[in-house]
Amino acid sequence: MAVDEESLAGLSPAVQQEIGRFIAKLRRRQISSSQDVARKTLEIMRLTVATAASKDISSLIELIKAAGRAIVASSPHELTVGNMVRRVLQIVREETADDGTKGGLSAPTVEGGESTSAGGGGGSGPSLMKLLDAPDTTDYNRQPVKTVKSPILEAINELIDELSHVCSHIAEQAIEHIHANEVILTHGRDHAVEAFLKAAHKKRRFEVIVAETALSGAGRETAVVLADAGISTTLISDAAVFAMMARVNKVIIGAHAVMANGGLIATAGSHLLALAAQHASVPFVACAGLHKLTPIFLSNPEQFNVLLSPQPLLQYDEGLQGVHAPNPAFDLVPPELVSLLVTNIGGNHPSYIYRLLSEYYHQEDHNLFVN
Amino acid sequence: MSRDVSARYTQLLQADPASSSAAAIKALTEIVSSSSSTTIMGLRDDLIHAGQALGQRHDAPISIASLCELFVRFVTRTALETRDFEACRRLIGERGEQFALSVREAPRKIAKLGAPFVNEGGAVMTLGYSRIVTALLLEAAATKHFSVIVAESHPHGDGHRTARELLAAGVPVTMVEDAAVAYVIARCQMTLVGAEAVAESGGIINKAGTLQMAIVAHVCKRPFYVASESTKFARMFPLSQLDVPKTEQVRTHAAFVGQDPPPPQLVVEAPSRDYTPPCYITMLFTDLGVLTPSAVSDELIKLFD
Amino acid sequence: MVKTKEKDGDLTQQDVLQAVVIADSFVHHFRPITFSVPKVLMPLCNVPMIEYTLECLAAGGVQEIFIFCCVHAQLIEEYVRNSDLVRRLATVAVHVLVSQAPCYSSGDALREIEARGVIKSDFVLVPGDVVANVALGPLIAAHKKRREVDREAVITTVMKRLSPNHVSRRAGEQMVVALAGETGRLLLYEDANAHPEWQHKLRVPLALLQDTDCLQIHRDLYDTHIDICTPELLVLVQDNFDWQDLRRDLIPGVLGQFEYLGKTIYTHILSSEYAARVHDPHTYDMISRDIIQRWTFPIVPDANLLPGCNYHLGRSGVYKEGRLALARSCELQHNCIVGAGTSIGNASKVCESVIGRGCVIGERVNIHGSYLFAGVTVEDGASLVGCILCERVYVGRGAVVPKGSILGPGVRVGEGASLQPFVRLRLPVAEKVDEDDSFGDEDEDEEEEAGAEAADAPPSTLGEGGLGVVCKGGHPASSMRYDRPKLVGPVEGELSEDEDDAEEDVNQVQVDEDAAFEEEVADTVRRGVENNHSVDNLALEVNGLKFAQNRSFADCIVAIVPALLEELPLSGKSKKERLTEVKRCLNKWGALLKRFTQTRSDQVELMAVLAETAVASSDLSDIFELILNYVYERDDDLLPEEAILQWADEAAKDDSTGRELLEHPGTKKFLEWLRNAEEDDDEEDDD
Repeated sequence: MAVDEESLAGLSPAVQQEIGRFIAKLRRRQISSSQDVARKTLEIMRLTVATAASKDISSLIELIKAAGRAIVASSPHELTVGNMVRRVLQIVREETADDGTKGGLSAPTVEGGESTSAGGGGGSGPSLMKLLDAPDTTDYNRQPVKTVKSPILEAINELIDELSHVCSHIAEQAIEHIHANEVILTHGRDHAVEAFLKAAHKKRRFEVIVAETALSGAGRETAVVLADAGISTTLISDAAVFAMMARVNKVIIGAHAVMANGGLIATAGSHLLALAAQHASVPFVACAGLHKLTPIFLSNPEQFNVLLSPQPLLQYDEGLQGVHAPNPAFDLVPPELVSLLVTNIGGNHPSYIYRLLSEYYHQEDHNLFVN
Repeated sequence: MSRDVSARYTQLLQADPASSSAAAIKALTEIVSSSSSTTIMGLRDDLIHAGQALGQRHDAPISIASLCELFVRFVTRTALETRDFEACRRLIGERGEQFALSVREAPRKIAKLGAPFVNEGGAVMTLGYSRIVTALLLEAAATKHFSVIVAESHPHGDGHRTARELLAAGVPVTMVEDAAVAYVIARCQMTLVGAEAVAESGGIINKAGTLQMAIVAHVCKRPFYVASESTKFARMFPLSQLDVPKTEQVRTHAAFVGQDPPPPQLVVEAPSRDYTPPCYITMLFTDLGVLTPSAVSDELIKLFD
Repeated sequence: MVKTKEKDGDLTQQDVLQAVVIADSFVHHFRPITFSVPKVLMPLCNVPMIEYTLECLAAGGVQEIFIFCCVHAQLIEEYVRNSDLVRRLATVAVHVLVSQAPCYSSGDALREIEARGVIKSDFVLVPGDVVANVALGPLIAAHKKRREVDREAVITTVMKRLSPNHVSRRAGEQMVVALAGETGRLLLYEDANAHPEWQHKLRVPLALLQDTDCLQIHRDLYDTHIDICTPELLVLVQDNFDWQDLRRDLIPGVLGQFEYLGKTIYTHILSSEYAARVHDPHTYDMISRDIIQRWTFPIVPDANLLPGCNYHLGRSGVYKEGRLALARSCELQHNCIVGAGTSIGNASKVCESVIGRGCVIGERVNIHGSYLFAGVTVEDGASLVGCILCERVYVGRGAVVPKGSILGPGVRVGEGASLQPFVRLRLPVAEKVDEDDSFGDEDEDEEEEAGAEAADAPPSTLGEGGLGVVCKGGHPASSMRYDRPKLVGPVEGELSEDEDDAEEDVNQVQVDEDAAFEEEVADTVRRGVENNHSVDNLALEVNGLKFAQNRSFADCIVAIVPALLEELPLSGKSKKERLTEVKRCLNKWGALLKRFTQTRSDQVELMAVLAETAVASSDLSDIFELILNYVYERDDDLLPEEAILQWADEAAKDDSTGRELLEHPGTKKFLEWLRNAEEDDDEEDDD
């Protein structure tokens, strides 16, 4: 979908300019790391909230959604953008709801009283419990924006801060998962995995086998980085993964995004790696920060993928006509192949992901394009 | 009282054959409004009796018992909030109406959630007739081109009804017998069925033949989707096929229609329902959203804790 | 954080990276499309061509873009004004410069830009129809670094490796490029077509080899027309007002003036990035295919460069926008783009084509390798293969539009029509089309021609209800789908890239030239002797030849002496007679020889040639030492002893011919006598 010009009109010029610059950078693939994308999105959200001229909360929410939609529409495969927008929306709703109950209003419209809020994460969105209750009438228009703005901005700042610690929090858990004299298999280039392995290397001796991830050569870069850190590294070609799997104790890879069913979107070749791991009964571990958690169920596997230039696969100079050479950047790994998902709040099984979703995102925000 | 409720339920069902849950809720709501009790406990007892009466009907959905239990709990909770009995009764009445309305909206919501999962240019396999499934496929057909393969679901042949409704909307339909499901699965990209009840484990109870389709889909690595309203969530945990509630339906075994009656020693079984365990189900489309089977357990635990 | 405007102000003018886009190609390959729309606004994969260029520039960090336009300037200005470019490209400024004087070439354009004085520092120069995903940042940094080392570098041009037989090459384009391997300096840039004698051999001036140790001669380089230039280039272009085309005049001009201006051009060869320029319909076809196949990633259709665009990539390279009405049995086979609001009927097949917005395609239509702009209507059963259809073209039932055709906006092809391949049609116009004022006269001629041809073209080719007249366009070889003959044979084997071979060739050439010169001089001398010209006249003539062919005095001597001596009637005479003859000749013509022996080395040369001639000739060999003596004794000191002795020394060290001459008894005697005489002189001096 393209940028909707009218909805952008409500945003201040500074925000529009920032969004324009960000979209251009994403389009030109000048920002590569998910963390940078997430941080930039949060900065734009912060700016939106700070410069918003809305009188009430619901129009503030609309404004944030409009800004989010503009960026998501231009780069649909950058799922981190949508995730951060949803986090901000959840922050807004939470801050508003907190103020509402603090106001001590005992309304005839009951929100399920204590049991609902005790349900915590289950409080957001429809649930069986709330079917018979009054419709969710958190009246967002009850408080003026002014009172909640600074808590919201503070919360966003905290989120930005949390982002910068994602890799270190993931790395802290390394010791629990990597044991002495283990052989770890990895591929592609991911900062979280690198931090993970380097942190484990401080306390344990283990070996790493890196599959070169042929077309982009990302695996080669990882091998160099790990070898520089003093880890005993072996570089193999992608085709040799199955043969080497018998000697491997664990497979650890990074992910581009984690879908709502626990499946992963990861570097091309990850699905093959996962199938080989399953065949050899080797645990398959994925490291991903929570900013990569996406509340979307993939209806169409092709909708998320980016096809890159065929350049590394075919030489343009060869002049081959009639040869179709798709070069997908990503792969979809189904949840049943993933044993463990290591996030910055701890390790989880993929089937637990839906719980995290309800904690961090509000049901109404799952689909940013629906009003 | 029980006959009244039953009669009322029949009336409502005739008026709107679409949703039995809505009819049940309306009937129960009316019990509340028309009850002669003056205490909450009395009201509660009336409802429990009515629920049992409805549950004993042979055409009642399996989840009716859960629905009634849900309603009873709701009544209890509401009573805790309001002191005044009459106010409570009115509130229950209002909420009940709202609930019935939202239940009627469920197929549309589910259709919107599930339609993106249908692949453009692909084939969808389904079984028998389900109002929700048909609504979902029609919603998808509005924007995409795809075809449908229907297993006719012997002996009632509900599949023919599905085929007719889809053909009317211009969707090409292929009809196969239940035995040919494994034969055609390779042509499909996904499988979609409805459910009569969703168990606490996340598995479903549906027409006989569903479990076979699920196993075949699992083996051929096709996703198996279930579309069902949240009112079908039942508080049961079948461990095997033996735990599936038996229904009273009496019918002649299809194999013997128009044939000689079976010899006396021949044991003839004609199960009408089976239980599909959650390991074969990829995703459930409900009006609470798209859920994984484990999420279903969560919802039910939250409700009935 | 708000990026404030103050930050932009902080940037010194040096840091603002500028680019100049020349929005006119000054050729007419795309008629009749370019009658109403400038070439740079023509849609390429449903996006105006200039967007690709601007996106490449903005992605490379260019902050100020000047679009220079001549033809259809108002349309370009309007487009830039209305399309919010600055926000979309995330660049600082886009200015449109309209030419005030008629511009016939890119040279004129550069001169006008220089006159405006807007260029402050190194800038990127591209024509408006370049599609590239080149990262300009590193190129510009390399250019700046090179300028620190070589201050005279004016252009860094970007080239891509592409084999000469590659299908996306322009027809008939064969560039031969020579580079200095170590620095990438451009030494030679010629079109092989202009030199028919270069079929099997290449002539490289010797001067080039003196500049470099590693000379690379390329035939596989493709010019991407992306240049990084310095402001001095504009000054150069201003000075040389006859430089018109950038490639035909400017680059050979700068290379040619290297000796006295010293300006250099460097080349950067792309390894894995893509860059290409849309010259003509054939390259338009090729580049469209490359964009669809994502060679230009990330500048691809589903990057949605334009606002309101909404392309999604599906299977087999099919890009679709929203609101399509596709019948169930229609097939979008592979590598297509279909714009929003288009409807395609049953059983139609679309393959490797681009369809714009709002088109109506009927049933059983076959579209292969074609490009349809917005609002085209194609009725049932029609067939379009390899053609370009502009806006609002109507193709009737069952019509066949064959390969290479271009139908201008609004043309109607009637039912059942069958057009000729490579035809270009446009709507007939009532009044003169105002394509470009500068070409006013040409237009008139063309219109008359078109009118005449239309009168000739029978209406049946366009079918019932057809509307259109033939328009003259480029050669069919520049059209799409023209079967080009392949270049003969493998190129690498024939063209030797070895330095030695190049030298050998050069030497061979040199020897031939020497012989020719000698021949000429000899002829002149013989004529002079025959006709008994005066010494002065003959000297004048020989001098003239010397200057004309840039020869040295020694060369002349080498030519004159044999001519003089061999013409003498010496056979059959006695020794004494022969000597008299020679003396008489030398008496007369010695002055001539004197004119051409200015330096010691000339004298040595004279000695050498005398020796050679004399020893070689039977008549002269026995009187050689007497001749030598005579020459030595002359008053005008034609051949002093130092020269003779120097020759003797050199000859001794020389190879066999020299020593042979020394061995000759006459020479030996004379030399001996000379050396003794010297000693006597020395002894006398001592006393």
